[in-house]
Formats: sequence, C-alpha cells, structure tokens
Amino acid sequence: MSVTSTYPEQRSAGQNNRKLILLWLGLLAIPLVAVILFAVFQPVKVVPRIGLAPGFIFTDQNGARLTNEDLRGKVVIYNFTTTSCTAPCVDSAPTMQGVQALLARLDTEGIPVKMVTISLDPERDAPQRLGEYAQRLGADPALWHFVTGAPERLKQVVGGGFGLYYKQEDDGVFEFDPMIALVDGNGILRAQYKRGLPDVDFVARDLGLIFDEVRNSTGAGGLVYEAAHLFACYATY
Amino acid sequence: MAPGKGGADGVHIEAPPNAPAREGHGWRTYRLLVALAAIMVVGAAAILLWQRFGPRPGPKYGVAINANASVQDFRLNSTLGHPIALSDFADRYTVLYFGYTTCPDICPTTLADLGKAEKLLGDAAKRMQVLFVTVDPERDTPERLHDYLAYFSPTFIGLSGGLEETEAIASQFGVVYEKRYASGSATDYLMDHSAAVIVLDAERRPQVMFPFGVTAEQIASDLQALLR
Repeated sequence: MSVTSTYPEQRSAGQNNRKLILLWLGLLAIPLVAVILFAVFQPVKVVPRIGLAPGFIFTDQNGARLTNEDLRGKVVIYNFTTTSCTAPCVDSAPTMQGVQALLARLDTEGIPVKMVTISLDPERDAPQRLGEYAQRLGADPALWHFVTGAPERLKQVVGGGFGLYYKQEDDGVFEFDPMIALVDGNGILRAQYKRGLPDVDFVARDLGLIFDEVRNSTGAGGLVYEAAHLFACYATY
Repeated sequence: MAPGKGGADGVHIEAPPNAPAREGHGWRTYRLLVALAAIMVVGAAAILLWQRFGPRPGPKYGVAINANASVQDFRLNSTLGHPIALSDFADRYTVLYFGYTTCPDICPTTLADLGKAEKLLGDAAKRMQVLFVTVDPERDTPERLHDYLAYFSPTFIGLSGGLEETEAIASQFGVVYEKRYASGSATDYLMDHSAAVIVLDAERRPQVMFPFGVTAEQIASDLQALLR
C-alpha cells in the first residue's frame, strides 16, 4: 500500500462514515415519524377510558334490583333525568329513543347492549311511575331499564361517579343539564356527553368504536389499541 | 512489553513507511467506535423513553383501565394502628380489594392469590401495596382485620371506615355490596360484594382490574409488566 493511494481511500472512508451516520439517523427517525403519523392520522380511533364507572344498587320500574354488576359484560347507555322533565328542563329521553331505534337496526355482533335511565327524583319517581314513563317512551323492556334509589346514593353515583351536577329547588323541581354516558362491558366510563344533548349519530359513532375495540383488541391488535389510547386525542363530543 | 525505551521509540522508528495506512485504520476504527457508542446511547435513551412513555401492552389476564382521572383520596382506620390515606402511597402502586373477614370463599381465595403473587414478584413487590378494605366494618374491627390478613401476607394493610363512608369509597371503584341475611339473627349475614381487584398507579388512577378467577401467576405476570 503506497502513501499516495491512502488519501482517496481516507476520503471515501469519510464518505462511507457519513453515509453510515445518515443511515442510522434515518433508522432512528423512522419510529419517530411513525409515532407522529400515528398521532396525526389516528388510523385506529378509540373512545377514551375516563375511569371506573360508579357502583350502584338501584330499583327498576318493576321494583326489581338493578346493580352495575348485573350490567357487567354489557355496553350500557345511561341518561339522567326525571319523569317530570318538561321545558325549560332539557329532556334527554328523545335522544335515548333515538338510540333505541338505532340499536334496533344496528348489528352489534353479539355484544350485549343495555340502556338505563336513572331518575334523580326518587320521591316522585316510584317504580309504578317509572313503568308508566317507560311505556310512554315506547321502551323495550328487555333493553331499557328505568331506575332510581335513595337520594344520598343518587348524589354519590350520579353526582360523584358520573359527574353530573344537579340540585332540587325549593319548589321540588330538579335542575340539571341533560347528560348521556357510555359505559363499556368492563365497567369503564367511556363517554360523557355533557355539552347539551348529543346527536344520536355521535352516540352511534362512539358505540361503533367500542364494538370495534372489543372485536379487534386481542393479540397484536391490543398493542395498537393501547397505543391509540396513549394518543387519545380523539374528541368524543 | 517492557515499559519505557523499547516501546514508543520502536514504534516511532518503524512507523513512517506504514503510517498513513495505519492512521487511516485507526481513524476509521475510532469513528466506528464513536458511531457505535452514539447509537448505543441514543438507542438506550430511546428504550428508556419508550418504557417510560411508550404504549404498554395491555394486561394479558386482567382488564386494562388506564384511567385518565384519579379517584378521590380517602383516609380510613388501618391495621397499622393509625389512619391511612390512599395518597400516603404516592411512591407506589396500590392493589385494592374490598371484602370481609367472615367471607366464606371468594375473599380468602383472592387474598391467598394476592399473597402468592406478591411472593412471585419478589423485589418488584416493594413497588406495590395491597390494601384490603372491609365492607363489613360492623364486625371487622382493626384487630380482627390484622389477624386475618396476617394469615395471607405480613405486608397487607387492612382498612375500615364508617358504613356510609365505605359505601361511597367502594362505589367509585364500581364496587357494590349488600347484606344477605342467612337467618333471623341480625348478626348472621353474608355480604354479597363485587369481587374485582383494582390496581391504582401512584397518582391514584385505576390501571388494571382483575376479575375473580384470575390465578396468582397471572396476576403476578400482569403486575410484573406494570411494576417495571
């Protein structure tokens, strides 16, 4: 090897090194770009896991006991109201009727779904009145439960667990904002539609996402879903 | 090689004819080493960041909750002889279970599984604390809780509060319970209660839930991944 020949060799080695460094930088950039693309385009959409839904033991329109444990394994759509909710009280019942109609034509692929209306007014909304209310709304008794419980329990479950502020005025009228909530089969609160009444389409979209997740989040899909939850920047409503 | 005269001088004398080639070699090796070191450092940093912030595979046997919100803190009488708050464990995961000492089957099975999982985890178990909240505070005194829990693990802490208080605390974990009287006697009753074990992170956010029926090995495996 001669002295003269080493100079170009050195230069080419330098070029090689530069290429090598570029290659490695490129390799390092791939996951970063992938993460950014995943966060921006959100190929897998999820509804966030807000927290554990509250536990309750309430009484339904037939005087039977209904607990959150009875509803485990089922996706549940809740609304919170009173049977005497008339204007200016914003009634969420029509939206629930819309959801019931939606469920009638929706293929949930074997995932059981329930609807629960929680009355904030146990004093007036005794089981019989809840039953009449259910009939008036055309509720399917196999799908849709109407429940209530002791005032302090309701405060704890609805006010605390579901995060809906409400109060009874001196004239006995309940003041509250309409709210609909989604709880998944694991008892995890997934959506609280608090800003006025949601369009049934919003509820339908989120229900669809929950069903997709139940179906697809096994095995490797699970990691993709966990990643999606990490970037849970998907606004629900 | 003898230190001093022979070494450096010898190399110096023999060097000139081969010097450029050798230098090229050394320079290349040096740069390669630097590049490798840099890659290792960046790689290690990436792995650490991924472990800290990256998505974790969901629990294999339990149910992922990964709640965004913390549960409300609470303070109850404990088997340590003084009241304990959930926020006292801000440096570790807490494993919460609701039950009662006269529980015939589910509670002892679950507690035995948690005790076994704790043993299987070894040192990692130091980053978690098992808390047993009695749903039967009328019969479960702190002394009784203490003796009962000692049977499963010396580290388990028992908590008891008022009736209303306990019910409210349990509800925020989706845990409910009620008395089921076995006979006419007012003290002869069982508690029907939710059987799930709930794991909270240091910020009191529910992370994982183990339904009844998950084995000690499975609990340990999921906790191992969480406690990394």
